[in-house]
Amino acid sequence: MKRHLVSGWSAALILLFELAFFAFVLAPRHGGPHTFANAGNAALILKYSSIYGIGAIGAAIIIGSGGIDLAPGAVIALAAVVTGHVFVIETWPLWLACCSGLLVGVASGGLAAALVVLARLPPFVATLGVMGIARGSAFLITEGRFYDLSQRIPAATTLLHLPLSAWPGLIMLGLAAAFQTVMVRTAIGRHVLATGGNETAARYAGVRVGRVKAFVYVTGGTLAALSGVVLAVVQGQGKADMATGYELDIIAAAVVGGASLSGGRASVVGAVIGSLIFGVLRNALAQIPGGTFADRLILGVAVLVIVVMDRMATGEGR
Amino acid sequence: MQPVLAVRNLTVRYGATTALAGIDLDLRAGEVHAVVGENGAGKSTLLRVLAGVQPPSAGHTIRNATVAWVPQETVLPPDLTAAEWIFLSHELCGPLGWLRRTAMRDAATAALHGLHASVAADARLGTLTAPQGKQVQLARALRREPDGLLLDEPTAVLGAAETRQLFDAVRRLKARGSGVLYVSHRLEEVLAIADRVTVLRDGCWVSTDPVGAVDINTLVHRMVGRGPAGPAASVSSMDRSRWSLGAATCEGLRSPLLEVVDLATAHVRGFSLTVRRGEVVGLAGLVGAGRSEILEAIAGLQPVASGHVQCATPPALVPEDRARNGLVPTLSVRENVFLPAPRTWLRPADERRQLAGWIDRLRIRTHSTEAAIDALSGGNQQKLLLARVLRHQPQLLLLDEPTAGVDVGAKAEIHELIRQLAAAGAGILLVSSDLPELLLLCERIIALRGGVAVSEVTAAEASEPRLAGLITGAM
Repeated sequence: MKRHLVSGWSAALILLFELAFFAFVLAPRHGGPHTFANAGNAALILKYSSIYGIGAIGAAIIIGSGGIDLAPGAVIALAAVVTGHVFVIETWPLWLACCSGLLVGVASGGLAAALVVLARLPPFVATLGVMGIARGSAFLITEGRFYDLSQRIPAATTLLHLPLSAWPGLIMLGLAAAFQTVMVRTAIGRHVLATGGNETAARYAGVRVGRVKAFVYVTGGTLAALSGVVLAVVQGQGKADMATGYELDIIAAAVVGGASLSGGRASVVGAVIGSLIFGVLRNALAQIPGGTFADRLILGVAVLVIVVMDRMATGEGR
Repeated sequence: MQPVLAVRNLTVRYGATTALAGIDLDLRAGEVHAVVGENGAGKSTLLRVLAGVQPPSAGHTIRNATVAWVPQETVLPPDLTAAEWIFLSHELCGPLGWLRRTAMRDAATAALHGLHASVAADARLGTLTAPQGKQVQLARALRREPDGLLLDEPTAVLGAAETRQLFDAVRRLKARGSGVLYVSHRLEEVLAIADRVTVLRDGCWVSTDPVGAVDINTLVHRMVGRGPAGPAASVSSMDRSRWSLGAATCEGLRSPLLEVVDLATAHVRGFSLTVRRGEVVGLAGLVGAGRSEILEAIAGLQPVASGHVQCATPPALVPEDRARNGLVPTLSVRENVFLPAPRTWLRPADERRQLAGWIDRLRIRTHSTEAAIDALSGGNQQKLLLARVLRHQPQLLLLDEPTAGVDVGAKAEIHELIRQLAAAGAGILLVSSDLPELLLLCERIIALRGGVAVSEVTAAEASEPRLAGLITGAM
């Protein structure tokens, strides 16, 4: 119990340190407004982090169950494409288009669950297959075009009196609270971590391991699709090649937030903080001349440093 | 003459708990030195320090030798073969560094043969039963003919024949001049094999004596700090009303709780059995005879090839090999006991309260309900599994080696628990490699050999030699 809480906390500490560091480093030399430490930039960071953050919630749950999911990037794209297609081409109302996008996630998650539970494929292989199917389907639907949703969405659209661009962050935070509660305070949360910690023991104890796995993969798929729907609506585009490689950032965010790849340990809140850590890093690097080139390098090093520090702090890896 | 291994003023602390305090001990060449003590006395910790995997908090270790350590519980990687595991990190290589597979396979076969283990050198570890896995572990340690051998409850999962083979191997090692440190709860065995016996209690050294100078009662007295409770004393010390499982039916009419007819599974054929209310039925057999398989088939965890199983109430299984099949290492003590979770919305405060009750009743030693599993000793971990099952007040219990690796005091408590449950009307099917335990607890014992029930004896007509003969086929 104590262990994964420390990881969630250490991620929060890293985030705070990061924010302070960049606030200092990017402070304007000659007066004028602070390009990093202002409300508009914070909103931007929140918005862009949520694309990874929503998916990272699902990744944390799947990793906690002892599995892994390589499909999120492809599912994001497919969901965005489907939403775009039915909204722009079939001219369905927006809410219906979003629901279809979400259904994509349910379907891909369901496929992954069937492959893992019924066909007993290792999750790595199963989700690799789902990734290919999803990405391929996206290309088939678009036939190389892309959908421009922003045409049909007026620029000043508000939902519940908030601009559309505020919603991704709010959705991410809301889902983080909801799923953290599920993981810590409900039976299914305990069963997920039991399955990840020792699947045989969980099964002998009477946990319905098949149902647990179905739950985690369908949830993960739906959350990834939600990221895709959000991306499509907020960014206004549905393209088949978007979100390539996002699954690795999503997994990295979950791991930095405390998920152990050997299963049995994960933190939803930590995963969201992890996605914010990377979001802040990307945003800050973009404001440093030449920073974007070092983007992936620094992110890779950051993941290693953070995980090593966390292991040392919790005394793991004897 | 230098000892093979020694510790001086050794102290080990895990956070707030002191596992060992100021221990002095040495292992001489050519001796078998037994270490005994209750759960939590610090025996496994001592071995871990001697093996070099646990750094001391204070004091130091003297090692003048190659040391092989066979821990109490190991989870073996399922995809390696027995030969690969036996030679792991000590592989035989040719001049260019290529592995000499055939040589290793033959040497592994010889090592396994020396223990009369029914394991092929090419067998995948994932296919072995707990006792077979233990034999592979022992073969790995013994093959290297170490100067110091550390054995932690080596016979906990072994049957009578395998134990004899192990003792022969230990004596051969002793004759070569090696020292063997032997930790066990089985005091009769200790007196049979050891030259000196050290008693630990609550992390402190109590005594070290030549084995001729002590007997079982003395050892128990020193381990426990008081006289061993006689049967009458322990009955009255536990309140019967705590275990009420509903009214037991009257003596004459005992309805069947479990009926197994002509069961066949992977290694078992034609097995039939009835367990009635209030009965304790024992299942005896050697490693690989199929006992665990039968329990798992009844519990619905193993496929049934033919025949049928009928349970009047849902059976509750306490599996063998708690590290592999019982406990989840990433969950706390409380979460492991309350698995599967009792309600959709968890109530941690309620669980803590109930668990405190079980900790009290079963005398589980843990510093907190939120502790990590690996902070508990083997016997206390076993009690957690019992609490998990007893929470549901089961009427039909399937117990697989419930006292493997459990000390004298806790063993007596578990035996009393079993008696109480039967007295309150539960039916119990008990698998054990400890023949005296079966004779003590069971009304009838079924002897299993090679997947077939060869005989059924009542407690009155059974004896240890007779049972041993039936399960080995010497009769």
